[in-house]
Amino acid sequence: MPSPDPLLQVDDLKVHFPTSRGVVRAVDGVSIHVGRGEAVGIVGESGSGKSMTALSLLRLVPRPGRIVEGDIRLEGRSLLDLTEKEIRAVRLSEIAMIFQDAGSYLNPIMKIEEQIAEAIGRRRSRLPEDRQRVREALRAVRIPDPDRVAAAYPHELSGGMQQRAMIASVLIRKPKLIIADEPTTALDATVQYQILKFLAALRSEIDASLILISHDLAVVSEVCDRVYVMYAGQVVEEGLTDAIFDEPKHPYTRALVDSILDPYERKESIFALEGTPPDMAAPPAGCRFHPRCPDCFAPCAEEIPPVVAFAGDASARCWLHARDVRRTHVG
Amino acid sequence: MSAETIAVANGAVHFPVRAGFFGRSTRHVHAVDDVSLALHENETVALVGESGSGKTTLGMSMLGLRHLTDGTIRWRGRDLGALTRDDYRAFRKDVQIIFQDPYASLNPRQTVAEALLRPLRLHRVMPPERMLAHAEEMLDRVGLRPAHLYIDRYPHEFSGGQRQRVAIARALILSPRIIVADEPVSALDVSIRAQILNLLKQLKDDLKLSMLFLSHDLGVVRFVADRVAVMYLGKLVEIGPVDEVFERPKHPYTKLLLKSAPTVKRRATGQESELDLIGEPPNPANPPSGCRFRTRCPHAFDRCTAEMPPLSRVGALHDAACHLNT
Amino acid sequence: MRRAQADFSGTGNDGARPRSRRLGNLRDGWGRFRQHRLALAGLVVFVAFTLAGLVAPLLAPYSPFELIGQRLEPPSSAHLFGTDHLGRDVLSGVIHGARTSVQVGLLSTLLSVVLGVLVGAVAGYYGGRLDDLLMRVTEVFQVLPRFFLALVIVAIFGASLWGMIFVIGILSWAEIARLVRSEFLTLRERPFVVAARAYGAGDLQLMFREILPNALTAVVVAASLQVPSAIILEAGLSFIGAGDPSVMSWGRMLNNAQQYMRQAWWTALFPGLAISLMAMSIALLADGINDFFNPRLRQKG
Repeated sequence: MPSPDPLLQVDDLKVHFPTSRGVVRAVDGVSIHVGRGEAVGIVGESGSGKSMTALSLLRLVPRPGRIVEGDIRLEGRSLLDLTEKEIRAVRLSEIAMIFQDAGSYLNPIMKIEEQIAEAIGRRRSRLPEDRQRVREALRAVRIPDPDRVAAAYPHELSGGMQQRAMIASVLIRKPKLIIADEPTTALDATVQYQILKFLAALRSEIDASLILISHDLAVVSEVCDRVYVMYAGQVVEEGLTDAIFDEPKHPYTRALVDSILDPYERKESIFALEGTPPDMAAPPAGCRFHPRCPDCFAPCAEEIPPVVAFAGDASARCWLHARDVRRTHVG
Repeated sequence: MSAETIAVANGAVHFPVRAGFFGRSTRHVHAVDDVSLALHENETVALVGESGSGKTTLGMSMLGLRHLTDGTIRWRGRDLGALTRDDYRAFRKDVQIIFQDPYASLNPRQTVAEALLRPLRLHRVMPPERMLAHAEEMLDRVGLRPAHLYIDRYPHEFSGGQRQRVAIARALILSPRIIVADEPVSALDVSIRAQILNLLKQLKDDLKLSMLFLSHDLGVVRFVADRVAVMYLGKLVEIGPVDEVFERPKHPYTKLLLKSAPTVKRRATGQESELDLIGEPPNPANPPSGCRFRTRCPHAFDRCTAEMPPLSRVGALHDAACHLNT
Repeated sequence: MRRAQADFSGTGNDGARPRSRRLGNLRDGWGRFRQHRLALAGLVVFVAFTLAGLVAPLLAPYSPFELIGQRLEPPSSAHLFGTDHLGRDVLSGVIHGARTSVQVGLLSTLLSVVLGVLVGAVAGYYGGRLDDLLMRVTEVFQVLPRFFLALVIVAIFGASLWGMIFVIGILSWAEIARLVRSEFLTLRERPFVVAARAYGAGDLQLMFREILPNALTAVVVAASLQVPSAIILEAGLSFIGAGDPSVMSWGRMLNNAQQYMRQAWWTALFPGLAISLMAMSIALLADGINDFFNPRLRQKG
């Protein structure tokens, strides 16, 4: 559902990978939008295409993958039409990405302050204002001892500190959109908690939108206002976070919500979906989820269901709803 | 309480930290320090902790794969360090492990059949002609049926969830009574996690296993465990029945862990002072004096620096090591 | 013969029937090998050379040492590869040379692989003091200048084919030992090895039945690079007269041909081509052998 003036608008994105077993449709018709100052979550398991969608926004799809169709617009400007030089400018100052394992994305032979300075092209600068900017970035991520951390090498820092350093190198560029791909997955629970809290607080402090990608619905619910649920390369549900939990419209979302284990709640049994995520080189015909769906019926195995819109900025790609509600979008 | 199967008493594991030109050790990392923990029949005890907690080291020492620097491990009433040859062989059949990474826990050059048959052949527990049938029964039991479709294949032909099932089958093939499961579902997709958890729970009930379940995920722990033991920097800080501990936590670290667990529909809001205090797990080679958690504890007072708090009873079968409780 | 992984999600049934395990795995391995066209070519060439070497006296038209024709005669119907500077038939030389090269190349590499694997496995598996000690010994062997040491040994013990095989093997194991040790160090900590320790597998079983098969890839590659290296080392030794004078070898032919290459290109081309083909065929063969052992098919995109 396009909002009136979105920061980011993605329409019908398709990313394909040629492999020896056939074409893998990693992203197959994904449409998302992010408003200014909004925090949006993308939830999915392995093979869902969530990370590839994020990489597409920066045109960083690894070879031999290619964006074969679709449109990506940042503030109305199409990113797919840009030249290499122009897209690099976008990566520098407009869209920034935070990855899961910060340690591998930091250069092991460069001090932290150099790497953060490099993010704004000031690595060799001795100007006090540049050094000041670096210190400020470190303070913004609440690093308790910024001078020590600035002079340190990545391996001297813990996982949580490395992640903060990476976030600092992103914030210093003052991007309009931050994409965080599983930023806390490799971290300890208490560290994860702090980083999530920090990301949540960030939005009110700086004027940036956030896309948070995770396999964990609960993590996404801590930070995001709206959630997209992806399965096998497609968005199967979209909605406000609370609504997704209270009333999931797609059986896959419902299964994810049902299988959340809460330490505060005693559960005797949990519902377990049968089967495994599909082979993306040869996905099932019709609805990709139908072999595992407890509510599967006649049309599911034949045709991919269209996206059906609901009130309150929600939608679901499921035949269960296609009958009741008017279609707005053929998928 | 049912019969005890394996227990560690005052167990400690210290690693020398190599310092100096000739590798002479000057400091030790106290990976595990004075921990006592017992497992019983038909019981899952979860061992919870972050990096540096020592939970993996403790698990490995229960398996006899890591020597204790201090304390003893009691298995079937006998001291693990003083077993006869025959007893040791019996021990090796009785305690098995399930790993976190399904992609690394099976030998890529062996078929499923090989992986399951080798332990059987090694221990000669049954006549060779019966072994294949037993292996196929085990595959069936872990949900890989019909077994003949799986038995001759290599690990790379399976998904993560299937490999984990094979790893579980291998762990059970010698009919052990004790299983150490090291984050067995952490590396699996969410939709597969539930399948494997249900399987583990069911197997534990059917086979009356003692399971030591290492995990950082408290939600999983609540579902799977009967009792939970919380470790911090090598020390046991809280232990008790899982419902009791999670509903009435008595150690500040347990409370912090519970608060940190991402829960549905709570929107995180940042409060600076709190965040700064939480900090990170300190260096295990140089732990704080007295109570090891005091540097991150909002309630720390002077006794905490001076004295290490002992475990004291705080509820029904529930112990915690915190000066606030005494 | 591809197994579609899509079928195999645990819910499907591809109707496979059980078959005898051992044979099945060998057949699978051969199937994988067969798919690798170049490896097949390599196998064919290698086998051709080996057979040629085996039946050299029968196959070669003349004795390689016989002064049978005019000096430096170009290829003709009587001498398909021409004659060398002494009037010896080049073709016969190439055929007999195959025997020498295959012997030296393979046997010396075999020796160095056996030594290297033993030392590397023990060092990598046990670690600690034993590792330190073994690594010091390995370093000594790595640092010795191979050529001169070979000369010295040959000078002391005389030049013979077996002596040369032994010497080359002794001087080449160090690299393989390092490689094997490094593989063992990593593999030792892999969960599947720890699991085997947990069910009571002993050290020997762990080293040779669990870890080594996974380290084979690296070993095969290293060994395949050593074979041509051994052949060339032998050539150099033959050149300065340290080689066995009673056998003809390609290296020797090549070195003899250096002076006459300009006028008589055939004296260098054919032995040189033979060495190149042999080396290449072994490299391709090694690639195929990897596929044979490795159940993980050449990976996707």
